[in-house]
Amino acid sequence: MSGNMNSGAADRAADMPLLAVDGVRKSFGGIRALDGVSLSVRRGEIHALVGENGAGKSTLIKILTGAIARDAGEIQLNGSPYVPSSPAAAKAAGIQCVYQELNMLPDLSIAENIAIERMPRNRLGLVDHSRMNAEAASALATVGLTDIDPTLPVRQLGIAQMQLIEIARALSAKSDVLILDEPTATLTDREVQRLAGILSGLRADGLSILFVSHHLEEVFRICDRVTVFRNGQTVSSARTAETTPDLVVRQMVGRTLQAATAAPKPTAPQLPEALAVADLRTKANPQTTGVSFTLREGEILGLAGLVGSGRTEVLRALFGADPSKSGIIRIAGAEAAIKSPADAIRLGMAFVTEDRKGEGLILPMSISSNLSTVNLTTIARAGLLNLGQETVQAEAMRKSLQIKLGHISHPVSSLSGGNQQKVVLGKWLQIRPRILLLDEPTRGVDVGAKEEIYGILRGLAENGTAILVVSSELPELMGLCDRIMVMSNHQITGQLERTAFSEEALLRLAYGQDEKRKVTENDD
Amino acid sequence: MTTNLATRAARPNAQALIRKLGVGIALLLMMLIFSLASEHFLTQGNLTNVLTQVTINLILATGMTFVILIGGIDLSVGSVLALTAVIAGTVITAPGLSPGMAILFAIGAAIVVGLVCGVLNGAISALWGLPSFIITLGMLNVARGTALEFTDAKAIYNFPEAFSYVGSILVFGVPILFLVAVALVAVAWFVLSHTVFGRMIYAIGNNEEAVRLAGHPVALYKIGAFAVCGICAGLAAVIYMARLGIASPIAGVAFELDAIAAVIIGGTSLSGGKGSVIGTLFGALIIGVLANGLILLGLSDFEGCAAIPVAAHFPFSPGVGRCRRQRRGRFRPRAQARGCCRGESRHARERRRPRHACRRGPRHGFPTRSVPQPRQPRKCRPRQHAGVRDGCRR
Repeated sequence: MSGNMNSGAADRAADMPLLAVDGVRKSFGGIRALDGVSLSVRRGEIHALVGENGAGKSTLIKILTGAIARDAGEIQLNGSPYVPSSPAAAKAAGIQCVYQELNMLPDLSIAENIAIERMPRNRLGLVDHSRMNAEAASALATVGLTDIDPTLPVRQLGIAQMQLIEIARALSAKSDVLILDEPTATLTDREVQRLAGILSGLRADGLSILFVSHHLEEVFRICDRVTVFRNGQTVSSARTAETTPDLVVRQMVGRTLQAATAAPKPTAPQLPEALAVADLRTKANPQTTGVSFTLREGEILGLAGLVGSGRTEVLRALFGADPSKSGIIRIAGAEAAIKSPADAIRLGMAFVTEDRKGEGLILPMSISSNLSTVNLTTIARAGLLNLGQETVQAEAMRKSLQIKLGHISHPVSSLSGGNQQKVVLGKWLQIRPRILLLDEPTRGVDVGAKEEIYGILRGLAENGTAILVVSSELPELMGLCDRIMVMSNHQITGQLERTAFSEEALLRLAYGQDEKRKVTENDD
Repeated sequence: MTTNLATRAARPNAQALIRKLGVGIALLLMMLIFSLASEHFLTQGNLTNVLTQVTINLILATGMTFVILIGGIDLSVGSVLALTAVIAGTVITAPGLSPGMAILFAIGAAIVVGLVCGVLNGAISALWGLPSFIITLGMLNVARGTALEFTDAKAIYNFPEAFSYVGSILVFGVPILFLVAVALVAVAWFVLSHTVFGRMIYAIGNNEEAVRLAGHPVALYKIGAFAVCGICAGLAAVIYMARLGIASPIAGVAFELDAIAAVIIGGTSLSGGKGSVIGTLFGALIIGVLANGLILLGLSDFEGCAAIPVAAHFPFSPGVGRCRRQRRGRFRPRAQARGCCRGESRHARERRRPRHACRRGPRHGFPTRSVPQPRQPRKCRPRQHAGVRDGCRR
């Protein structure tokens, strides 16, 4: 198409955006994920899309790839309205996407993975292997993988090569826009550089790339323009040459910098240490050093960081849910060997996991039996269930946590998200933990219940419980915590006291702005 | 808000109740049909016979319920029954033991052997993280082979008379062995609903990770479930010996399949976490009544073999229910839009088209015995195709 145009028209075409998103809205239930975002991607540019977790990046990608439909707003592709009815329609229209979690079939060959959607057939209707391999080789050449045999099984490749093969697969179909969702999350520095080279080659061929990333350094190295989303709205869109990483961080956070909402508590640093961790290296930590920190009684310590920075892994290792590579854990001054959750519970720890449905609750079972999951054996008599005691303690917990329910014998799946979360919290409070670990305690919880959960946690801290809370919502941590640690790439990059809280400072630490990304090669 | 929640929670309860009663209703219906079809069915002798035949399967299925509730399966119970039987048979016929001691020792040996096999199944699958399907399939062969080796493939008989006598006692026409099995079901029900172990069985079947993170020894409970299943296989072996007066190394072939069928018909979910032994009791009775009724109706063994799974499936499959509604014509407009005749499924239509294109030409009609009707080129007559019922089979 563009090849037929004369130069004047080509200039105009270059000015006109290839993909223009205007005022797109999308709500899930009552929650507004997109509140009128706009975005315009020109032909032959690499366009970065950045924003905090929950800013609406993923929702927009899902709309563009036809996975979900928008509620309102205009999208134009190549000057004509674009309303994809399905992912297949989006692909046919020329929008290809490579997702963060790779969709490879590990035991099939590279060529089969590339051709999986359209296997070439010969006259007998069987797969034409030679043609498939030849097509795969040319697809691989577009991403610079000329030295690789397309008949190799994908399992034998490194993660970076898989990423490139995903891109090759996306490009093997008609493509005007290539969406890359967090393509560098698992890559080393050198691999990122190689990817950058390949992307600029694709750009020279006239492909437009929408690059979604958390790593601002890469955004500024690779991309031409950067658009910032915040709370489902477009905050700014500028050429990378005309803006700075600092400005982008500030735009992501917003003008209304969250001040500490609760009144500062009189800090009592003399309280004894509840938990001390020295050089804890989790299973997923590829670095040679681990994390070290201390937690005092009655303190609420926040653990901030991007998804994948290793926060959840630290909690799981502390609780003995996953084995750790090394590290010393002291509880109330005494060294503790935690090999399993049972050990941790014996030492007075409790762990509210991030996946309420998968790891926290037994959904079809009753509220009262969920509330007694942890201390079931202690309220039983000689192995016989003490149903009376179970009901009594469930009622008591319902009152103290104000769980709104029909009847405690109803299945816990009948409750709303916030009340389900209270049940998870309640089952742990039955054992009166001295150390409470919380992972995303208010995910999927409505605003009212959130405040109630914060109140419960503050009350526990006042009574001396040491609380370690992981959250992706910075305002939540800033409102709740006495102190916040920030993790990036499995390391603690900094600690802020309550007086020094600001989203900007936290984000800068989380994005590892002060620290160069470490080069770790082939660490799988 | 609260009332809303209450009704929302109450509806599944009502459904669950209907589901639970459904198995009982199906059993009663089946008995009604068989008693109408054969005058021999509802006689005391025949019913006693049914209960006798149900007993062993009921005991095996009760143990199987524990394993299926944790999301596992035990394919080895038939072979474990044989191994237990030959060992208990050796004990009971050992020279120099008084009959009473011999019987006690034999029952003890049966329980121990069943327990060992069950614990092995459970320990290997729980501690090594292997699917129980594979492990118990292995145990199926190991136990059978050991039984054959142990006896040189010979059967053991000549049990003490008191032992065989116990096996034939009737209490008001009910075999005492069946009462033993029902007592076992009652114990199992109590264990599942009133002990920590039972609660953990359900919890593990629903969400193993949540139970692990709550600090409970998941592997131990899983081994416990397999141990219960093994003990039940051992008890079933004792019943088998008492009833037949023989301990054969080739006893119990394919018993595991009937046991699994009883559990599933009784409403226990194959993916675990949902179900009860009361349902299993009804499931075992349904299988027993069906097998007996079909024989009374004059079906041969082979026909009976084929009919049991089909018939057992029939009243419970939601898919079948849907087809029945379709046959009544509730979904007719859509079906006709597809070119189906009334009551005919899409698949049936597709199958028929090449030979007898109903929608085309003067030779319209079905491959039935009746004469084609050229005067109705575009309409299919509803009555003719009793033969398309197979289109509804799932």
